Amino acid sequence: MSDTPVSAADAVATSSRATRILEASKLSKTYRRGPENVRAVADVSLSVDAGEIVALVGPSGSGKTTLLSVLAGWEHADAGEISWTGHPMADPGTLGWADMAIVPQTLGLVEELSVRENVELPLRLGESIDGGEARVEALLDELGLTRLAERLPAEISLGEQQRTALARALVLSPSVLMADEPTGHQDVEWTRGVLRVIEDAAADGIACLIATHHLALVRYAHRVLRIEDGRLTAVAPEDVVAAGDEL
Amino acid sequence: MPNEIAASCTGLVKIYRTATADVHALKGVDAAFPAGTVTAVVGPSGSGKSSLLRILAAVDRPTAGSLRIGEVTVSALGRSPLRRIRRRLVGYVFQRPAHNLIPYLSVREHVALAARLRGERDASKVDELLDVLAIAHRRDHRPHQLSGGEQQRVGFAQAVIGAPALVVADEPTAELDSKTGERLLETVSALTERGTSFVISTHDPRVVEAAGRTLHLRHGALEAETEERTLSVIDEAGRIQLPPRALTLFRDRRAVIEVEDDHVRIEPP
Repeated sequence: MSDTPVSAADAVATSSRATRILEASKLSKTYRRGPENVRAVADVSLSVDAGEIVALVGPSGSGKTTLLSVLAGWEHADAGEISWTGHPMADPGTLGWADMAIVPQTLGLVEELSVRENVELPLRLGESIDGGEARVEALLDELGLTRLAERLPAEISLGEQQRTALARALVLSPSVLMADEPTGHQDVEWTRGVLRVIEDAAADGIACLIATHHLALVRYAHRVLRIEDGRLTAVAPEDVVAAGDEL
Repeated sequence: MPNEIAASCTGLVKIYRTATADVHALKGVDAAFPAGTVTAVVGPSGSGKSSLLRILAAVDRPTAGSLRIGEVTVSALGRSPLRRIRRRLVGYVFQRPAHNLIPYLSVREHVALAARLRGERDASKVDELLDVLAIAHRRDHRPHQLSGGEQQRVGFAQAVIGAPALVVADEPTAELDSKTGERLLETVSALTERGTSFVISTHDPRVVEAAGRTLHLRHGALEAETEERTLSVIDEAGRIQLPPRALTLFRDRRAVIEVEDDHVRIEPP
């Protein structure tokens, strides 16, 4: 689709890998906390391809949440570049729900809207999409929210609120799903349910970048990135699983 | 409009049951909130401010007592009618608006969504309000592109669009610098002219100064609004709270109590 001619070598390199959706190069973000500077994200480069599940692991305070916020454009990086489907993007915060959908730890549900209305929100705000209602019902069902659909966020548990936010993020089948500890408030049964939904999303071609403490999620991941003191290293999923509680 | 009562509560009691004890957050609060006025609610942490605000905003129910908003006794309503009434008649401003803004929506979309929920069908009202709040130039921006003060004004716009009877704000200036806080208060006073009654919990002296009146809460009970006579509640154990000014008379925290025919005298020893 590009107007630029590509060499044979480039074409081979391109065709040998899946569609690259999100790419970041040399991102840095420093905070001022009291008298000291905290480097929450230090020279981080990463990419996520369509249909891929990438787990982002690391101890609390290692920079996972900040990295997701910077990739989402909710916070500005001090340095580095973010590319979206191969093109540099000055402010990824202007992307829509259908491009990059995020489940932050704060969830961001609308308190005045019922569970179903929250999940429908991206559909109602944008142009209506064929099959949207069926998609809402399917997500509510898969995430165990059908019987809670008319309740307000304040009337359901934190785990249920978290699943509502996940359903809302997936309702437009975005190109990228980013989630910050999406199993953090789930019991064993619903951890499995949430993982199933993320796996289905990836199977549909959605690029998934998931910050997590959960070994189970790491087992589902195609790649694992470990962040510590803001620095990123790729690790083999087996090694993380073997290391066990060091997540 | 000046004599209309936007909301009133009588005998509000709120008891939170925990595993070990009952916490009496409110011990019988009576208050009325006239239309077009600003009421500041002050008191130390744990005095019951948040409980009172949550009940006034109809997001929580009292254990006993009743609440009227406009012409409706909301404490008697079931869940669905309560939700309808709340959407129509009550606006709520959160302490940290950033947590309640949606990263994907522009300023205008946020306010338009709130308007739709409140049944306000006139789209020009949204733009008019953005003008009043001096955020019209930000209408197409998203939350991450706004300053803290601008985010707070979006929160206010969502709360006041469609002229609800009552707007409840939980420490709305807590996270703002002093200039932005002052600007917000000017906005509040402009909005009262439309008849909305504001109830604002605060530690901020500027809010108290800007408010038409102040309710002092201590240990879940209101102190009267005048200094000479104080309406206080006696709890089950027979304890009563002295107002701060009276407390200064009892430097060593001991009192002599004399019961006379129809009154009780409390004096320093």
